[in-house]
Amino acid sequence: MDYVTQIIDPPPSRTRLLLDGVRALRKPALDGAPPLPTQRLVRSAVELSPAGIAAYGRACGFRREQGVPLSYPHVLAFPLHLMLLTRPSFPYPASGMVHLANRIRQHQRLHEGQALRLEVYCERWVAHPKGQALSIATRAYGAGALVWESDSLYLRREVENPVGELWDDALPLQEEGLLRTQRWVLPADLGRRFARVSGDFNPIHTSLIGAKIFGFRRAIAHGMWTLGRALAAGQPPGGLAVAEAHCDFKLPIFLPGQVALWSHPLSGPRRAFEVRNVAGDKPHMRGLFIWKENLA
Amino acid sequence: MSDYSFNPAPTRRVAIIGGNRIPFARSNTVYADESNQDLLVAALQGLVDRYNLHGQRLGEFAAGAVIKHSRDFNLARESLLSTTLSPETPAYDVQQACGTGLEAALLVANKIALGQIEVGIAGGADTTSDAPIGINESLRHVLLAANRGKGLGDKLKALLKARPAMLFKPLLPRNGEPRTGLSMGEHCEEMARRWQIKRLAQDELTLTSHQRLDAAYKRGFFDDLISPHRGLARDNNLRADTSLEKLAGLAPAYDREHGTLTAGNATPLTDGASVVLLASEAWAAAHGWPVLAYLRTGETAAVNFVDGSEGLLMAPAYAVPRMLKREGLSFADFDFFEIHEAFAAQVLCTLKAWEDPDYCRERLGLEAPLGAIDRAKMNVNGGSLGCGHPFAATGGRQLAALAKAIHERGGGRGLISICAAGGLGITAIVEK
Repeated sequence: MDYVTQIIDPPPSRTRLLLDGVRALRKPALDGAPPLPTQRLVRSAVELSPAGIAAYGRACGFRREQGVPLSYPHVLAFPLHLMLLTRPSFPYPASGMVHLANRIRQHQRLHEGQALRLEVYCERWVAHPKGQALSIATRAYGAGALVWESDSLYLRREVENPVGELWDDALPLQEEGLLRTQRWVLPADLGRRFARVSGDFNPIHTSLIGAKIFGFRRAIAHGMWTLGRALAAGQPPGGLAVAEAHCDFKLPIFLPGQVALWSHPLSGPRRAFEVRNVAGDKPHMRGLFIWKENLA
Repeated sequence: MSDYSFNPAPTRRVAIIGGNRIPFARSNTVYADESNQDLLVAALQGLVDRYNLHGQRLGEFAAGAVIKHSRDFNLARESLLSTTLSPETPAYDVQQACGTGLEAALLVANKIALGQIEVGIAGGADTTSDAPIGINESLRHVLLAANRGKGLGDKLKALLKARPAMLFKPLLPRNGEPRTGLSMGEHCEEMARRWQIKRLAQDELTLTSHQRLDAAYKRGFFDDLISPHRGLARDNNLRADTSLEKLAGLAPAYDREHGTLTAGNATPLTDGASVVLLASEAWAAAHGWPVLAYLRTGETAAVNFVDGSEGLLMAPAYAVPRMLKREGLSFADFDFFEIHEAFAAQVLCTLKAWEDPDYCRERLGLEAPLGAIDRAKMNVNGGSLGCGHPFAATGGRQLAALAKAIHERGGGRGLISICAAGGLGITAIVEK
């Protein structure tokens, strides 16, 4: 697939993204298979700024000694995701795209102050049992080398005869041996707080009315917040070199609320986890966190 | 020869002369208006009166509280100044969660053993009635920013960020682990599940704790260990008339559906204070006080509870075998076991762990399990389930009661074990 590379500089403003989002609320009915967008959006040097990391860390519960959070580069690239999804050429309304899963791989230690080249593009359509899914690739390069990457799966529900390979990457159920290890109290303004550090101002996360318009009874937590919070609970002190985090988003978490983290004790640097409701019988997220033992 | 100069005298035995505590009171009852300092002063003055220490300059007073106001930075010293001890007695604060009282005693004992001091007092106090309530965290940041501001303009600008709602959302002390967000009860519920501790076994242990405490009061065991305070002569958590039926009627407190921990078989929030008088044998002889027992040694352990690989309150399970190995002792060498009952379930988990061959091998590195503890030797004069648990005061209570029990018996050996927040475990051996 040939991509058209487009350098994005300066980054899109919040207003611009909101306007694009409103404009992308409706899309003409699609005739036949959806075309894969061909833009590759690039920001050539985005700094892993100490202030940005600190704000993100506060929102998700990372501690300073944990270094650059594994999930942090994702929020730097998120505005580019939105730009792709709100393009006129994108076949579905952006607001109806549900973040289903995310796979993050880090190949090298990241440092505060380091500049990353970020590339975001639609990689492939995926046929999902619930509709048409799309994998958006995020690639981060440091000094020419791929240092960090993320694949995000978004779903447009109720599309018949979806195109692409079948989605068969769901994380296996590992309920055996999972223990409740933490409980999180999520305040009502959590969505707004995470929006400020992630740039994801989707009204389903930031306002009650916004959530109701889109069919939720209350505002819901960002999936990427939930992932960040879970990684913060498990990321060892001293920062990560080579690591992976996989997660499948399940039921939404309503705000304010409480949820519990369940994880596998004694599983060392390969840790399955679930975020569940307080009763512990419904999953909000299922994940796997792997890191290579690294002594900096 | 190096020029290293820390050159202690040969170590000496540390004598436990006696202890004093005030009756423990359930939170927001008799001591509702008393501060940590009020409680600690009452316990300390009682000891001074009992052992006629008026005007004496002692080696030191080490004590602490777990839930503290920021103004209590020098709690031990300030308390000492309110007693009739010589104001020339130095003091310092100790804090190791629920291990505070016992850790303070180990610190004082070590100085006596090394010949640095002849006599000292260790103790602790806690109140959850007079709890420190902080101002709203956002408001605190606003006020600090205003304080940093240069000039009135800067200060006002910073203060403009204050919102009325901040006044109504104060920062309350939490009875939960900072790193997990789970309360201690929830952690213990998890342990009970892991070790399959039955509700009935927990209630039975609770009943025994109340009954033995009541019996100890009735035979006058506490007459020279407790000073009445504020009209209270006995721990007001004690339910001499409780029964298995009554305990069975209580609803689970932490997990309403599947839980086994209740308000009965868990210690309530409690207010109280305790102190223990420790000295060299020479000091005891010079002042004519009999030695109740000797504080032989202590061991502290910590476990990784954060990732769930070990239960929050399981550290004593690790501390005890390490200490026994170091001292060349086994359970058979003990006549008393003074196990702090934060929750009946936590005691039973620990006992079960010591009997479990797999656990003892894999976790504790032991070839053979430590074995069972004879329940007739455990908490013979009642435990925390009966009398309550003012966090920092529990160690002093146990140490004095155990020393007296050994003295009454005419000799013997006892083990103290305390679990504490943060995955800590503090243990000690007392003997004569």
